[in-house]
Amino acid sequence: MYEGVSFDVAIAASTDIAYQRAYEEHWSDVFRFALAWTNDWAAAEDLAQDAYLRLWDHRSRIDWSRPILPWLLVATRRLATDRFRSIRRRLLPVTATPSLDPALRARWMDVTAAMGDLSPLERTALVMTALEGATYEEAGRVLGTSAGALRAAVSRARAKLEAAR
Amino acid sequence: MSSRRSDRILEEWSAIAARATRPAVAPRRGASRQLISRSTLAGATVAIVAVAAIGLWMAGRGPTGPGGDPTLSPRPTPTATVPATPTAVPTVGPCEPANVAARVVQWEGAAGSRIAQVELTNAGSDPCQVAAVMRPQLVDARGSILLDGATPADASVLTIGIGDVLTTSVRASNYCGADPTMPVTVAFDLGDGTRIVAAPAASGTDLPPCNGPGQPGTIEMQPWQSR
Repeated sequence: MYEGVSFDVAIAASTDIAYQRAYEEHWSDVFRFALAWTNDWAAAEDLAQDAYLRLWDHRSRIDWSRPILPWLLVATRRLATDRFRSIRRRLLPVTATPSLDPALRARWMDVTAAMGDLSPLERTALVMTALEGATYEEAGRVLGTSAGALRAAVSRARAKLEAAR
Repeated sequence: MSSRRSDRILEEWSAIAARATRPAVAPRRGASRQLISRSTLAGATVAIVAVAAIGLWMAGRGPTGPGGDPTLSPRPTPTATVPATPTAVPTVGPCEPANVAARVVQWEGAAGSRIAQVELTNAGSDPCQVAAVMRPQLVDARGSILLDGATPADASVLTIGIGDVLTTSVRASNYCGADPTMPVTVAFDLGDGTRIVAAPAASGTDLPPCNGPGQPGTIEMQPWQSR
């Protein structure tokens, strides 16, 4: 998946079309990445929204012939680590899972509690490599760290989840 | 179903995450309020409440000091109201390459290496953030990469105020390639397809010597520091 889709500029002649395709094809990837990082459904929806706004702002400078997903994920990570964003969320927590089916909320709360023992890096590294099929090198480029550090993070994450009761 | 607890949690995580619904309309920057994220609205609310609270607190400060006179009747409690058009809340985002100016101040010789002293100035109109350590590159005048550094493990970031300057030194060693288009300079790959290219030094630009043909060249940087 992290090889991504290279948009053919000849087909996507307009950046607007390319942007729309990026939204339709990768929103769920961006959301899942944001969800792994934040462990917060509403925050992940916000982050995905803001990541696409950033892509919109940069659309004229983007090389659309290259895979756009890594760009989106790096932008999402940078937005997620923005210190003012995290301060705002601590001051005014947004209602949890407003768009999640009520029937799923209880299950989601259990998962969130288990994943909450992991750091954002551990959670995201685990999700990217175990669920999304990214290699450690690919995940490392997105997360701004080395493949070795990610292996260690995934190992810690596994150990924490196995030990949690 | 997997017997490992971690796999079961991940399967559950993935199954629920797959239920997320993409908003029908892709966000585009515009005047529509629905494009403003909840966190931005929350930030606007925080700012308004804070300003209102400070204003009331200042108004309440009399000769008795910040605590006020406890016998005075209570002042109305400010209520949080989201404005019809949320005003911009200052958030510090990543520095865009177009908004920073980097330059090689000078090159210094070292044993088998060349060290570039580099300055990075926030030339934009807002504070912004950069990674404390980036992936450095030695590039020639045409932008071709001569030496490529490693992706940094350090994920910490620094905030640069408007007009503030960060400095670093970049050490390059063992360039054994073809003669590049001079002058060479230093670039910083930001990992998202963009990079910051420093203006080359006015003079004294020199290539790192070839110490070992067949051996990889290296380039590494010290973390950015405030000047």
